[in-house]
Amino acid sequence: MKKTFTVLLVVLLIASVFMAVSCSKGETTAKSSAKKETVKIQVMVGFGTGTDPSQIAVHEELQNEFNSTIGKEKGIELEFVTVQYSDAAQKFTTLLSAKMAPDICGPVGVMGVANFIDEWEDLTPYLERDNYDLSVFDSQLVESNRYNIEGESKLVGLPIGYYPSALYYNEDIYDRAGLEYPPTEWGTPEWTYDALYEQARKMTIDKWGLTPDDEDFDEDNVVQYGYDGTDWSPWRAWVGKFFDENGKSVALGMTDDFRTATMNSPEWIEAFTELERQLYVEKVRPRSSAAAGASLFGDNDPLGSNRLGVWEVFSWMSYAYETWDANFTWNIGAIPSMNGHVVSATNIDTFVMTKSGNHKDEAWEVYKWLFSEDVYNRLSHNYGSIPAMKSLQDKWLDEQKAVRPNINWQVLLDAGEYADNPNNESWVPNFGEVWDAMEFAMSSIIGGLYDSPEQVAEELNDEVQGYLDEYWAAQDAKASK
Amino acid sequence: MGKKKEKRIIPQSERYARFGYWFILPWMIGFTVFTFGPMVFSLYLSLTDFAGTSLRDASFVGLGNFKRLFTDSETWHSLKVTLKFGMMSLPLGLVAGFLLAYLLNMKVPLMKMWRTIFYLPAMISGVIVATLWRGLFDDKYGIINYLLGLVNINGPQWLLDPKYILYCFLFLSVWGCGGGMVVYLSGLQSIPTALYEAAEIDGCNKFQQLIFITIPQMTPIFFFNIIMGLIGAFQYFAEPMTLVGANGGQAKAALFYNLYLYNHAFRYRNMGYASALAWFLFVIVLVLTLLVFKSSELWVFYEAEVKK
Repeated sequence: MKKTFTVLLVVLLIASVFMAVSCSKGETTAKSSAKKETVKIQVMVGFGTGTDPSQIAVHEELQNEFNSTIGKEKGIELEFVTVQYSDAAQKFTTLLSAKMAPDICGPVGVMGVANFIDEWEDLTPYLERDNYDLSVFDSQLVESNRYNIEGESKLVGLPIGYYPSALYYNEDIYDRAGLEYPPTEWGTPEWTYDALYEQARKMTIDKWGLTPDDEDFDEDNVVQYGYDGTDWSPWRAWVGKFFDENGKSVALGMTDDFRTATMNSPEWIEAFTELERQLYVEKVRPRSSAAAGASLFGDNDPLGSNRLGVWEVFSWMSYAYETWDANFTWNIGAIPSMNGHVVSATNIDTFVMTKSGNHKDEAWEVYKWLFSEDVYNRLSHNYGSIPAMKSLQDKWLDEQKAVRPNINWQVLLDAGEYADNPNNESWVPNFGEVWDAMEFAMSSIIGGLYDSPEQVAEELNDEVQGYLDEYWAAQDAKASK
Repeated sequence: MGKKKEKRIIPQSERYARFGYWFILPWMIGFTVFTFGPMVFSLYLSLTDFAGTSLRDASFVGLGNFKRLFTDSETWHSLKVTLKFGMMSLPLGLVAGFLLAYLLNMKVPLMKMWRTIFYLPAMISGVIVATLWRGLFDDKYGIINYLLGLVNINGPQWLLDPKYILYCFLFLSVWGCGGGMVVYLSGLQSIPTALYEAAEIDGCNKFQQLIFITIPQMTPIFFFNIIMGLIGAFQYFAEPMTLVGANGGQAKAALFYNLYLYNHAFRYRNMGYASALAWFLFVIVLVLTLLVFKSSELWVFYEAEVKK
């Protein structure tokens, strides 16, 4: 009986191994026996926007259009595959392991690109081969997806659209406080964060009607805040406003070779101190990040609560415009300068080609088609982004003005020139761990769980240095093999 | 001429057993392919730096991931959070479930309705429970702080203050004690009434009956619920993920072990290290379960068993 059981077990084990092997080989066999004439190119959607039913419909429309025209001619079948955002990274990883990677992914933000930096194809050879004119895009936005790692430079994607940050403000609250609206011109010399705090103090009100300028101001019972900002965007969106003595933004918090953390530098300590100032000295913004914000302001939309004067946020908040329209008058202003530097943290969407895709030339044909002017316009429209293609920006402006003529839309267009560089989401080694460490440092200040900005900076620097050392040790070990 | 091979007579019990194997074959296939196989594979992965994408790019790192695990302060922090939660939620859940079952085993009006009401939370998935409680715990508009406000208590920021965050999960876990309650109820109802009748004749009051009859008779059920609760505590994931997110909230006060494991597997792309974390967790749960099993010889009583 024991023998029967053992034989059965061995058969099962062999069967499972055989199944695993045959599953992975099945794909290859199927592919090799497939007809040569038509090549299927898959575009995986789900790393960012593009998953709403209305957006999927646009993708399907484009897919049909491509397949019945250029695709038919060139023997390429385009397929948009949509996955939910929450599952996208996991599904993409699984597809990579199974050697079934999609050919193109997008729209994907800089962070999505950074998370899988080794998986993307360098577009440079394709661009050079076809003499592709990159000057049709805002150059700052193109550079956001160029990476220089260990002396190797690669451009992994072209910008399909961007979402700059700007000051979204409630005109009604400004009017009640008797304040002038923020300027619409970027780089106005007198428009500094000090000037913004000055305004925000007058708009921050406790339940007794007092402001932080009053002696008896009750900071535990604030009913309206003057300013909210970085807790709705990553820490690097804030620290990117600080520049070193060479005039370079310190956003990355490490040396150019990515080997040494510099998050305890005077500029980083100043960034933490400035955050502390907003919260505990000026008292113009909520202390405990999103959740406390949510209590006072309602989920995901502080400005929509009608209890916030100014919100520094990315333009993807466009989904809230209708709510704002219904409740108050709002507008858009330029971001103030910090130590003489004006920076608009920007989210940029792109499409990337996968390195492990099986039909790269065909994928490049699809890629070019997606970035042809008409298709580009429909896509960027579909994602609610500002087109990075300069020829389409006036059209975008006209469309916005037609719907909401009183809004200063030009502010968002002009923000492109002030886009952060390095981008607030750009790659660093051990990206996820470093990112979490920085967010934790920021939240410890917002939550009041810290001793001093210096201590936060030192602890963060030590932790991040550990991640960098770990990353490079692994890289060096691989290189030595 | 060779000796004719004698046909072996298969005993009936063995023939039945062979039939049995055929019946369990589908399960064995499923177990081998979907559980045992992946377990062996994850053990292999724990010895590599697999990033979750290509096995070809993964290097063999030996016990490197396990060494890292012992020097990684976050691992110990997350383990501490999980143990702290388990040490509070397990006894509390056991007591609450048992008391509830004890009360609902009495002849009270609308008993079936009460049983259903108390069991309902156990039927709701963790994510929904967490979403519901997030609203209740809201420091400004949540009902908990509202009720505290009625008696002039300024309620804390439950989900933001590291001092209170674990208590939120404790509430959640006790609220769902209806699952254990049902098991206790079935145990209570299987205690022979003759024991209580004999005790009454001997002059035992209700409390003495509880201590000397009910609780000893219920020890196998306690044992079962402890094992299940222990495993459940170490698998705690959906609720903290929904309530505070993968980072574990302020000061990482709710960074449960499984959240940390999830981060490494799916956010940091350290699948090799995550596999090592999973195996470490498996060993911890195994050791604790074995300890409970071993201790059960001292305190679990089975009806047919005669203790020496």
